[in-house]
Amino acid sequence: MSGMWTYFARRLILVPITFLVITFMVYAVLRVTPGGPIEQLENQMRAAAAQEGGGGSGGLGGTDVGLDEKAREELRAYYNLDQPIPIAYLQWLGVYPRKDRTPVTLKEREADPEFWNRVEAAWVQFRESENAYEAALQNSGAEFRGAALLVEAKEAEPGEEMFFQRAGKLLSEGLDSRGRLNQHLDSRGWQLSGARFMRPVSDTELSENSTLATLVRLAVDKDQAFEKLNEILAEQDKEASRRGSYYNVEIGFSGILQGDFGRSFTYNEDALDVITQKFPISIYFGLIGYLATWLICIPLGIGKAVHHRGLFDTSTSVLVFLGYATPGFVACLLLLVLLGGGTYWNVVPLGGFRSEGWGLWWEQGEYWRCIKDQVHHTLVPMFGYLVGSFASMTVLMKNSLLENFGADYVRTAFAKGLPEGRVIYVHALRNSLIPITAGIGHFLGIIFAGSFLIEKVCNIPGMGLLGYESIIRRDYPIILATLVFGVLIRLTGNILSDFIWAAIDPRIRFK
Amino acid sequence: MKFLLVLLVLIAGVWFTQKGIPWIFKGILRLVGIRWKSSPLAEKRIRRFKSIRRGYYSFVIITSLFTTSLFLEVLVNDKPVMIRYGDQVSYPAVRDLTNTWCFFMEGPLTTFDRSEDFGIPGQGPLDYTEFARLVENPEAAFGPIVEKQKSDISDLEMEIEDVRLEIEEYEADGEEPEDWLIEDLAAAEKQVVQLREGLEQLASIEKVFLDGNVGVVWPLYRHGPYKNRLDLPGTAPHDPSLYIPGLTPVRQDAMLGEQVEMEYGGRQGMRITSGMGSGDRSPLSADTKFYALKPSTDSGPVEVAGIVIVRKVSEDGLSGEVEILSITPGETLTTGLNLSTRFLETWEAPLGTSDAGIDVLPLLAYGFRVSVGFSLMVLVAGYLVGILAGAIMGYYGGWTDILLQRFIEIWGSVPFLFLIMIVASIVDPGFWVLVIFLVILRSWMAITYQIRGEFYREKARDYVQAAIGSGVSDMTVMMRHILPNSMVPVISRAPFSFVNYISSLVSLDFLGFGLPPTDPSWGRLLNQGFQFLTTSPHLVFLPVLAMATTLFLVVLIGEAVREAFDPKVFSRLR
Repeated sequence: MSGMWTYFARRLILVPITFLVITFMVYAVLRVTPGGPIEQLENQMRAAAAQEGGGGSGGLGGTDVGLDEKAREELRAYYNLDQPIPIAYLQWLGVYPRKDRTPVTLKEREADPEFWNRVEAAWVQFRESENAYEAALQNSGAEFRGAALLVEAKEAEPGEEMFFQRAGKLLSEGLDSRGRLNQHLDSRGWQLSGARFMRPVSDTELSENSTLATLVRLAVDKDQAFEKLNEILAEQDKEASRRGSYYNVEIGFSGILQGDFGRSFTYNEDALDVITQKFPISIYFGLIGYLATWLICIPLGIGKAVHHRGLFDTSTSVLVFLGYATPGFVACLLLLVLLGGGTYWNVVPLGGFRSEGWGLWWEQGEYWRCIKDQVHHTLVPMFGYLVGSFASMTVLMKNSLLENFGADYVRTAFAKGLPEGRVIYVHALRNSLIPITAGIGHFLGIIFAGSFLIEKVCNIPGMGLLGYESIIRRDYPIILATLVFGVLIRLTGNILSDFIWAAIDPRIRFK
Repeated sequence: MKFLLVLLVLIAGVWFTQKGIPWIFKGILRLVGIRWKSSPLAEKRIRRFKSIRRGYYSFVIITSLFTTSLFLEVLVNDKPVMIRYGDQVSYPAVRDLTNTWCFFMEGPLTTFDRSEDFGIPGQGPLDYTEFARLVENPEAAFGPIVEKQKSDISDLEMEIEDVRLEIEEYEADGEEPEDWLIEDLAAAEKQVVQLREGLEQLASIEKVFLDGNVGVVWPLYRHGPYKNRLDLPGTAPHDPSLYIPGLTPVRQDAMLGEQVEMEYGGRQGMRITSGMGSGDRSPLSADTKFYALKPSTDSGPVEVAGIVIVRKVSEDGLSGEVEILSITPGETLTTGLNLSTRFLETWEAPLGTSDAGIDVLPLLAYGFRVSVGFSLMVLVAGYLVGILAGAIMGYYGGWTDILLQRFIEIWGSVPFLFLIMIVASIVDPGFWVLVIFLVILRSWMAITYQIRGEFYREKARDYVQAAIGSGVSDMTVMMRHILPNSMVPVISRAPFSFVNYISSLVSLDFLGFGLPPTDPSWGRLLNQGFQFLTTSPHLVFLPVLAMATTLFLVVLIGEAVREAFDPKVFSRLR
């Protein structure tokens, strides 16, 4: 027995290692690949600007819709993207301290009006200076790129004719030579804005030209006002963002170990809450599918084993082969086409967990209608889960029973003169159910996490669909949270399987 | 005729696969200097495999279909296999292939077909259907053009005559003719010369066509998996035109009203109204082609009486005027005929089209090639890596074994679908990237444990110990001595892994994370079927049918292989 305990101990030790490797892999892949939350936000802003038809985009300077450098920086800090990957990963795990920002609620603000009045004053000051700066910027025709102030180079200055000519030529060649043009301009710190060449302002110009000087002063003022605002906020460990929201800042351990999975970008809710809402739905369908598989595959497997190579066995083999050849989601699709009320029969709804008015019916006491509706919605996914594991389960049952038929104890039982039914259904069947019972652990993953494909096809708002949609929307906290639960359930499920096996079958010894 | 050709191609495929390829294979081996000899045990297993009929026939069908599908470019394509115009010969169907594989060659293989090289004026790419039309009936095609040119010339000549007369009048009056008259005359004369030259050119081109110095050879099926069927009326996806009475739904969209006097290029016109038959009064749209349907006498399938195209639509969109494009000989279009955008028994697109209007039949055929090729690649590459890893684990044992085992345990828990989805949502993986992904992430682990066990067991055997003792290198012992004796689990597992990889590819394509969107694939077709679930059931049925049939046959092979190579003998004692 001791050998087995070390075996399970080793398996259990491997769980955290595996977990760390997988989560780190996915975390790194997510961070490395482009298209993160900030880019999504900018895309949304761009789409919104395009819808407005480009008109009336007040604060967003001209053609270049998007976030300015400082706002982007703040967002990166908010989403914890400014840390290097390993540290960010450790922070996500909760073993490395991080700045945690939570929005300040209205209640908090009402609790300390004196402080917030001061903050509000500072905020107004900042906004005023920012408005002044923006007005000046629009009048001046200049642009800030990072810290550098750029103005349009309308005509070549002495000594720059060649440079200017070449730039003009490259510009006229169109988009193909845009890369070379940028390189050319970069060599002197110039930039392209639309079809204008922007050159950095020289110090002498700055001292001569009063508008530009004012602009620089206003920019500094603006930043100082913002810093002042943050200084006031820092007294109570708070921060402001340039877009007008306040955050409580705490430095501490806050990761999945502490139960903090972060806030979902799309649902704007705690990721853990989002996931726990979806769990019951997936479990419901998974469990029903699993039960259906048992109810059908075990009798079928027994029948096939008893009539091995007989007519029943051969004819049902076709079903088994078809089961191998059809993935579960494809079976769902077929059923939906046939029974979904499109072209043929209208028997089942086109997916979903329940009908819209389900809750209302339940309150009104129309229980029968509720049950009928629920059954209707369950049929297709159940069939999908059934088809998905039909073939392997049936064959497993059949082979395991056949193996037991060849065992000595069955021979003994027959030799004793026991009736055939008793030998098959009591002696042999009991032992051949062991591998199937032990398979429960492997099914845990499917039961809890649902199947991506079946949930997508049947439009079931469970874990699988959540994971799929979070990947499409790049909702990092949800992606990682579904990953964490999926991996944990699967890893422990596998061990559980082996454990159950060892517990119910004294012949099994793991080493 | 066409059916005979298809049958011939299939038979040739079977013959080539079953006889030709083994013959070529042996020939190459003989050339290289290796004599192929199989062990009696292997012979016995193969004999046993062949004796299991359903498995063996499935094997013949799948392998033959796959080798045939390697030649799909010349069997199912929207480009002709060969076109000829005088000395100019070109093979458009295989051009993409030759461009890819024979990139070092210059000349006709690497360029596109310019129109003017094939007798059609213009520098652009040649329109093959247009060319084929010319080849088929040059008189009808050239006649009107020549007539037009000739009448143009005679018009011009009359004009010249008039101008001459006018000038002569001026001269008779002793006045100078006006400048513009002389200029006109010169320009018209020049134009006449040009037109005559053009006419001569046309005549020489026509002569080439009339003499039969041109040719076009089409593939068996004239539509490819990349080009959409703009020639079909209505909007994609089109339903299949394989009409099965009682099963194929007929959509009736409009009805013919009374006949009216209308002029559309000198053709007869009719008035139509929308949605009389079906109850849903869906609005008409201009330029939709309709098939005029006439119920046949014994209430059987409906017949096509003619084809009309909508030219004018009323403001409410519920009635309009049509031009009659064609009428079945001996028929007249009468009031009260149903019009439909379906094609009944016309076999225009026997399996319908996808949502982008691409013919489904080529999509399925090319999808078969892609799926089977993909799975084969993943299988072979994965098994190579897996066998190597398993061999090293089993042969060396000890720490190598333990470390690799732990690694596999960890690696096996990586949710691979998840990872591929994340990566694929950023970059569109191509065929090879996907193969590599699947091999690295998943497929190599399938076989490793069994190979490890086999090697573990075989290593203790005397013949291996003898080989090691005689100083043969580790690699040779593994590959030459142990491996041939441990291939049974590999071979008997392969078909089932194959099934898994096809399913994986279909799932990935279904989710939109697989092959690039332009590649023909079953999964993408399924996805389109999912989007048009209620309206276009063929987009679900057809790929499912193709996939299930293929996988079913492969599973049959797998069962037979397992039976033949690894028979389980269950003792039955009663």
